Amino acid sequence: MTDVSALIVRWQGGDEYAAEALYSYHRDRTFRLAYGLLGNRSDAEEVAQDALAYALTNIDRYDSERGSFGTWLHVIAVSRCRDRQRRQRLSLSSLTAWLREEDDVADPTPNQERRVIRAETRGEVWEAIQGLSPRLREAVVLRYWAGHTYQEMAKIMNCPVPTAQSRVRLAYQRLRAALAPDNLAALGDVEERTVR
Amino acid sequence: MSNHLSDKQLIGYIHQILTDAEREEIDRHLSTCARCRALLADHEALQRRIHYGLMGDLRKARPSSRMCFAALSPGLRRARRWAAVWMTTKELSVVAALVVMALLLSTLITIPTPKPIIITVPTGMLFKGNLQRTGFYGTENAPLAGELVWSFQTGDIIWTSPAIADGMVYFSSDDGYFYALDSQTGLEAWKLKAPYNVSTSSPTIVDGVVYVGIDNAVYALDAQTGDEIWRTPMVWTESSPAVVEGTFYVGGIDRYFYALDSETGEKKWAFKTGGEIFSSPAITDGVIYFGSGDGHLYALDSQTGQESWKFKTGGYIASTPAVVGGVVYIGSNDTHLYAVDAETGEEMWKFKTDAEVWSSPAVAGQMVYVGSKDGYLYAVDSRTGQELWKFKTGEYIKSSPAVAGGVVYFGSYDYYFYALDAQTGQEIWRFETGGGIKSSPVVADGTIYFGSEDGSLYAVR
Repeated sequence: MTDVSALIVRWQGGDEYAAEALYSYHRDRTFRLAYGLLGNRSDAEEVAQDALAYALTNIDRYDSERGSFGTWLHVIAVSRCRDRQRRQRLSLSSLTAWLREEDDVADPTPNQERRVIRAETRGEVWEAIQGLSPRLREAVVLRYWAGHTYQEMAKIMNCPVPTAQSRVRLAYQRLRAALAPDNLAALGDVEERTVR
Repeated sequence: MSNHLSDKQLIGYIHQILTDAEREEIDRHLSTCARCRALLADHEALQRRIHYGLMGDLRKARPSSRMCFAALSPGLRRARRWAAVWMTTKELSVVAALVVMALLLSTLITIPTPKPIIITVPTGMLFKGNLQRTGFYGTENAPLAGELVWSFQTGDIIWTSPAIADGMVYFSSDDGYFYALDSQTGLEAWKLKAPYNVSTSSPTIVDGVVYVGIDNAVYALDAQTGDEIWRTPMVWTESSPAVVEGTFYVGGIDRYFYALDSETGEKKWAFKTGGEIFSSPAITDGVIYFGSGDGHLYALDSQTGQESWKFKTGGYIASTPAVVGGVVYIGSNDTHLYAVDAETGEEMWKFKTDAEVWSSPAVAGQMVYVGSKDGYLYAVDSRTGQELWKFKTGEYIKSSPAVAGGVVYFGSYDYYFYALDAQTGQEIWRFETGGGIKSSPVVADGTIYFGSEDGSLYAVR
């Protein structure tokens, strides 16, 4: 069991071995979070590395009173992922403008990238999660994979707690529509007959 | 009345979103109802499938060897050294900053003060119905029956508020489309695919042009055909634009408030705040009012972008101000609704609710209406800030109320859309949708239009 808080204090004092230990401890987890949110390995690697670099460089800004180091790291990583997604959209929209394509240009993912994602595809669940809008994907990954509380999620996603909750609920509803459509029809039937 | 549990209750139950009381009630029902136990089991099975599926996929994912500590340690060492140097020169930098500020001030003083312009107000074709953002739609044609005229299903959540002009209703959905429908029939006139998801900016229509923020750009579109007139790349805008006298105003999540030429989309000026701007601008008499994530309500000169005053609240502002009769009303995440003097920026009164106020106030006559995340819609005396009545819904309220003909309309996250007597707060009707309602309603020709998280846009009369 690594004592993260002791490592943080040592790194704040300038001990680079402590920084390396912190890095190793969080490396895979940070990468997986970014991969879950971005769906692309090389992007995830870049973003995760960037988030770790930021956290370690700015270790003096970390305040243990306000949450665990892991949560803080997730705040940084999620914000970096959002930046990345925005930038991708920006470069893409200028590209489409340049191509002067009309009407239905805009499948957001160019074919080649699509194929890469397909190749990396693992299962139905993964595919369904990657099909969610970015905010709902964040909600699923932070809740179902990282196991954060709604309070932590609100901090990480920079939103109120009920929003975090309703995003999880919505994401679940969308995943259900994608993964268990038959079930949904049956439930809709029940729902209709329910008086509230 | 022992009815079966709703889908929403079951989903809330398995995700631990419910209060203790709600949970106990469900436990009681489950102990006697095999049917709901079976439904719950289905939900739990799917929940496990998602959980283990995602855990399994991500457990197998590992970064390449390129991602290692050695790759970032030199940069880390450099940064730490600079941090040490920075600490010792902090005092010096304060002096330098003061000198720069003094220089800036001296240049500002030489700029002549511009004359205020009088603005003619277009009719209700934008978020909250008018440029003062009052949400007041006149005294006639209130939808009184609560009957569905039509609904239009999109592929994802609708968080934005529709805008109506010349028999068309315009709105964005998270399915990535910006839609234009016939307001009478709900039939699609045209739609525009956004490069990615559509933001929560709501459109403004002026003289046959639709202005809206979509993704990372703002667009001017031909209202009839959807043809692009111009597009200016920008950060994401969640704020809904206002167009006045050839200028397009919008706030960005990059903390800047922008003024563009409404003919060409070229930037005129930008004003930096300390937080993301979700709030939409309200404009009257040459002054722009908006809130920022830094907790301030700002008043800027609409021509130059110069700050007239700013007013500090105790929390993040996502609410849009309403300006009426020399008073600005705005909600803040510090749980208060504020009334601020439009001229001076001084507080006149504040009203406390039990949770954050994201909803934007509506003002009609001497009453201000606002929703809070405590689930209540409040009616407050616009002169004194005293509570006149409140109405409880089952979930929090982010939707901003609209008032027409003595009725106040708003949606709640409890899936219902409500119509209340504006004087007494008594319920006239409620309309159930399949999702939470964050979208704010707009009234036109005796019909009210709003979106829901179930992905539908509704026209109700």
